[in-house]
Amino acid sequence: MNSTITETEVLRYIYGETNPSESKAIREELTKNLVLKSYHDRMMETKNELDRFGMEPDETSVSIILEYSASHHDSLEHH
Amino acid sequence: MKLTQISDKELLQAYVHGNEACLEMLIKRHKRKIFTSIYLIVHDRYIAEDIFQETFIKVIQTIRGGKYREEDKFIPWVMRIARNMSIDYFRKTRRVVMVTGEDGEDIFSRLEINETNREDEIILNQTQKTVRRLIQTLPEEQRTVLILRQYAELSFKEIAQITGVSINTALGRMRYALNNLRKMILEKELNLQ
Repeated sequence: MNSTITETEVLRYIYGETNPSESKAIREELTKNLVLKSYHDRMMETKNELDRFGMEPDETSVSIILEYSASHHDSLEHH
Repeated sequence: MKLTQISDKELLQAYVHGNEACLEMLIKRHKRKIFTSIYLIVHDRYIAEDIFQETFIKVIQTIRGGKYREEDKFIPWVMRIARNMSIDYFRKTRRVVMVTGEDGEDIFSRLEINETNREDEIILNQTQKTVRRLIQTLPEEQRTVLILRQYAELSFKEIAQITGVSINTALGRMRYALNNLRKMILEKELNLQ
């Protein structure tokens, strides 16, 4: 019987959006479908490459936000 | 209970009831994805810092004003605010060419790509710069889905809702985005050799 698992479902699996039974079926399919396994590996590699890019805000920005929250917390309590 | 076991919803509820530390935990947990998403829209670190701050100030004002709807998931809600803040920035600085889309008002796709400033050149390493540039070369619709899924970590369902397309369309755009990026990364590596 031909597999009904598509590249789109593999993509959902890679991004953790499949339920346990779907994940299990995809994992099983990947062990016997070399075309799909190749697609999975290529997309995982690309995703991992993208994961290397990421930026964090300066700590000053976080401090400004927290100070704003604390100061307005006080003012609201007086209402 | 470990911090990782506390849900965003629980942290948010505790913050609403006056626990300031819970806001810090929420920011710490999500700052990377939110900031990266903003940066990929505005392409300027300093502007991204401003928008990041304005986003959370808006979040605080909304919560403190009793206008936060509990049915909203925290991250998609914050990302919507960040997106709107980014669009407002472009409107104010007239760096956006507004073209009416299917929904009457499109989002990321109307944003022009700014040149990287000198500070960014210093801050970002070569890999980051390369990846960022490659992302910017993607077609607008693919870039939007990629940023929202990969960096903002919204689900495909949430992306579909935000962008006004079906889940299958969002998934399709993501597939094309990853395929295109992979090709470009491979080509880039060949060029670097």
